[in-house]
Amino acid sequence: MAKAINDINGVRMATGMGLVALVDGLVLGTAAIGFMMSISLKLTLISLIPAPVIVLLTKILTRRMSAGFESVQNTFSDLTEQVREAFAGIRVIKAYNREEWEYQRVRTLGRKYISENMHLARTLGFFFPMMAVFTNIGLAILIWLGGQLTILGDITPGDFVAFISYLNLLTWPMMAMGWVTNLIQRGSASMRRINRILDEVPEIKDTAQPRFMPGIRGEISIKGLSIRYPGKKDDALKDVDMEMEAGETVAVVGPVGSGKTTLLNAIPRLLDVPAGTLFVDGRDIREIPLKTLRKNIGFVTQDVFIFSDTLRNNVLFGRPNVPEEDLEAALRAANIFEDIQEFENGLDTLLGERGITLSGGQRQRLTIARALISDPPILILDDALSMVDTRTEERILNRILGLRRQKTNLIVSHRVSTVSRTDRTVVFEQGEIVEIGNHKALLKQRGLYASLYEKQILEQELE
Amino acid sequence: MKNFHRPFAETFKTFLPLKQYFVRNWQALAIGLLSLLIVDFLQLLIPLIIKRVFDLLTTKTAEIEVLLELGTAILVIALMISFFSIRVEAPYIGPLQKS
Repeated sequence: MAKAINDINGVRMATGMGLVALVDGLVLGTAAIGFMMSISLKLTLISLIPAPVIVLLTKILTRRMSAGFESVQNTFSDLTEQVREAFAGIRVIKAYNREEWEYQRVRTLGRKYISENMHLARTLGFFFPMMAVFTNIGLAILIWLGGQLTILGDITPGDFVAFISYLNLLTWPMMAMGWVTNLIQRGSASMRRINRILDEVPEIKDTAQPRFMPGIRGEISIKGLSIRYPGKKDDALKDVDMEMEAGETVAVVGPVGSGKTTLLNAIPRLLDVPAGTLFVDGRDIREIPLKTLRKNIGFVTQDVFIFSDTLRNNVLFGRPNVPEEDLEAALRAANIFEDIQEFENGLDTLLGERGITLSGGQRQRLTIARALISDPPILILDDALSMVDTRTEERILNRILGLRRQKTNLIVSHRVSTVSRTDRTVVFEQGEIVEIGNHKALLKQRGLYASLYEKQILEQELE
Repeated sequence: MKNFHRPFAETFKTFLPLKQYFVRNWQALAIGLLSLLIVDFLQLLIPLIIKRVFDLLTTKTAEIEVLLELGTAILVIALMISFFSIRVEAPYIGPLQKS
C-alpha cells in the first residue's frame, strides 16, 4: 500500500507541480534571459556562467532527496505496521514472554527511521546553502562587471538594478529544470507500475458471448473435473464426477488437503475450470454470466471477513432494499440475532478497529447470515461452523435446512454430526471421490468415512 | 537525434492513461495555464518599474506623483500575481487533481 501511495504521489507531482514548473521555468527563464540580453548581451553571458552548475546540482540533489523521502516514507510505513502488529498480537507476545524481543524489533526500526531522517535532513541542509553559493557567484560577477558598465555609462543605474532583479528571477527556472527532469522520470516510472496494474486482465471472466440465464434452480453436475494449481505436481481434483439435484443437501468430507475447498471454489468460478466439466442447471458454468452465477450462490468461506462497518451493513453487504423481517430471519437462522440484541446499538453497532470485536463463532454466524439474506438457490458452507460448539451448530443447521428445504446446499464439515443430517455425503481423498452415500450406508461400507466417524466418536468420548 | 527523442516520447507516452483527466478538466487546466503565463508576465514587469524608478532618481527627475504611480503599479501587480497564482494552484496542485 505504501508503494502504491508513493507511485500515485509520484504521478501527481509529475503531472501537477512538474507541469507547472516545466512551463514556468521555460517561459520565465526564456523571458528573463531575453530581458537581460536586451540590457547587455555581454553581461548576460558572463552572469549565466554558474547556471549549468545550478541545474546539475539541483538534478543530483533533488534525486537524492526524492530517494531519501521515499525511503523515510517506507520505513515509517514498516514502523507503524510493526507497532500495529505488536499491539494486535500483544497477548501472544506476553504469553510467549517475547516482550523484550518485540521491543528490540520496534526499536531497530525506530532507529532506522531516525537515521534515514537525519540523512535526508543532511541532504536538505546541503541543498539550499549550495544554491545560495552558486546564485550569489552570479550576483558577484554581475556587481563587479555590471558596476563597471554602469560607471562607464554603457548601461543606466536602472538597467543595472533591473538586471539584478532578472537574475534573481532566473534562479527559480534554473532550479526548476533540474527538479522537473527528476519529477518526470520518477513520475514516469511510477506511472509504468500503475499502468501494469490497470492493464491487468482478470484471469476469470465471462466468455465472449455468455448466454443469458433468467434464474438458477440449483442442479449441479460435475463431469471428469480435474484441477491442478500452478507449480504443483499433483492434481487437486482428479477426474471428479458428481451429480446434485436441485433442492438436495450434500455434505463433502475428507482429510485436510483432499480437494474439498477446491471443489467448492470451482462452483462460483473462484477457480476456473476446463470447459465441459461443471454444469449448473445443465449449462456449462463458463457460459453463464459470472454476475448471474455468483448472484445465485451464497458462499461462506473458511476465512470469515468482517468489514469495519456496522453489523447491519456487514450482513446486508450492499443490498439496501432488504425488508427488516428478511434481515431478522437470516440473523435468526444464523443464530446471531440474540447476540446482537445484547449490544447497546443493536444492528447499528460498529465493528472493527473503532468498534466492537466479535468472537470467532459470532463472526462465522454473521457471515452465514450474510449468505442467507439473499436466499440463494445454491448455498455453500465451507467449514463455516468450525468455531461454534456442536449444540449451536446443530441449532443453526436445523434452521438453515428447515428454511432451505427446496434449495441446494453444499456443506463441508469435519463434524460427523453435521454430515449425518444431509441427504448424501461425498468423501474425498487425495482429490478423488472415494465414497458416496448417506450416513448409514457409508458406515456400512467400513471405509474412510467410517474410520473418520469412529475417530471422532473416540475423541468426543475422551473429551 | 532519433535516439534522443525516443526516451523522451516514451516517457510521455506512459502518462497517456491520464488523458481522460486532462480532457475532463481541460477548462480548469487551460485557465490555470493561462494564469501561470499571466503571473510570469507580471513578474517580468516589476524589474522594469524598478528600472524606471532608479533612472528617475539618478537623473534627479523624479516627482512624487510619478513615484506614487509606480509604487501603486507594483502593488497592483503584486495583488494580481496573488490572484492568478491561486488559479494556477487549484487545478495543478490542489484538490481538483484528486478528481
